[in-house]
Amino acid sequence: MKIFDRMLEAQELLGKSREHARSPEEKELFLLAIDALWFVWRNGQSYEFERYRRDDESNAPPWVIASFNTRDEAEVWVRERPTSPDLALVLIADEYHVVLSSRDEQRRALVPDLAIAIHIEEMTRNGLPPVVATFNTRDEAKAWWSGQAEPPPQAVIQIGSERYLAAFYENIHHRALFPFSAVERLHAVRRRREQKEAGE
Amino acid sequence: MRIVNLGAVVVLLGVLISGCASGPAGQGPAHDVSTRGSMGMAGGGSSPAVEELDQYVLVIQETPGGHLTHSWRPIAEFDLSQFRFQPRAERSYGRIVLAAAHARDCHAELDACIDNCLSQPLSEDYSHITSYRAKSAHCRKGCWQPYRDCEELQRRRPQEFSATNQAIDWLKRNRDGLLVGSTVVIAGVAFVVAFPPGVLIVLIPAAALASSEFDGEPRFTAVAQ
Repeated sequence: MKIFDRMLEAQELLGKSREHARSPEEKELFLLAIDALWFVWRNGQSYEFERYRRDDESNAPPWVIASFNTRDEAEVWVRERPTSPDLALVLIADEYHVVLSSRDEQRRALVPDLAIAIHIEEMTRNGLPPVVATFNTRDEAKAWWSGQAEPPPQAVIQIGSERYLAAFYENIHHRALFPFSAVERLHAVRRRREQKEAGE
Repeated sequence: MRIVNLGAVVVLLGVLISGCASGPAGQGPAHDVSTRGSMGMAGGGSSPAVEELDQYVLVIQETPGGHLTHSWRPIAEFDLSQFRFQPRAERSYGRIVLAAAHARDCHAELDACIDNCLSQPLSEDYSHITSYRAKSAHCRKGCWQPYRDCEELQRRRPQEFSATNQAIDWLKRNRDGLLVGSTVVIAGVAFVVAFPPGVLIVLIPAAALASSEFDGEPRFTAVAQ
């Protein structure tokens, strides 16, 4: 219930600010924000929105809207959507992908995304986080993570000598494990970019 | 001279890859150029000599029975003044596209763009973006259009054929996927794809469109409809 009241309050505040807008463009932007809240409300997504905000505050892994075992499944899904879910993230075999359509929306690409690498890099910026559990094999870790009745959005674990991020996507009922070494992809991108810049 | 109306199709074209396309302006080809039907089709599938390809326009048409026919027709039969540069300011859609034919890795460019964006401080206009995840969403959005442009350009990379027959087969098979203004290279000669009214596909030698009269922006191709 509380989320509905908060949304109404926010709309009220936006409405008041709108009256003091300095230009028609600014007025329109306030209206856009008000409408965005109505959109969530009328789509019945207010609780999901609440969860989304909670996840965002707790620095959960990047939000995804769907998860697929294979690229084929993902491609059928993205093709059949009435509009392209552009800039939304999805998991394909537990790899992050972003939906990017062409200008005419006719081609909808599922492009491997650096989201988890960026997330892990940010998490480790001030040193490696402590692990909550240690396992010998990935299967053991997987079984443990699946067995958690109410898992947090993420937990740092160790499998062998490697750190992993165990992630729980409550909105799509999905759990995944990401090795911290995923960050190396971001580092490789950075090295290539810096080499290229130095060469120019 | 018979002038074929190429209608409202506007093609701007690149001359970069067509630099080698200006063969000797010799005699016409030996094959029959007698006209047939309203478009004045040359009959049959015989092709001009390779060194004279740039003096001919390739016309592909569909017969009422659904059969595809093609003919090579002298440039002189076409009113190329229909193909004008559109002033920059009027270029409402279509894009500047480098006509060079090197392959790009659009995904690698996207990654580099996002990483570069993340490593830069955002301007003051984005002071509301405080979390790294908001910043990465912002960067993804900012790098989306360059990615689109890259992908589009890859789709417009010249299709290259060493022989005319290969090219014609491919054009007939892929007629639905062809874009106005895309480049097809046949035996080293660059052609620009157009769809004038009444014809299925026309390939115009890029060099013919790139005569000094039109030579405003070499190296670049832009397309508008």
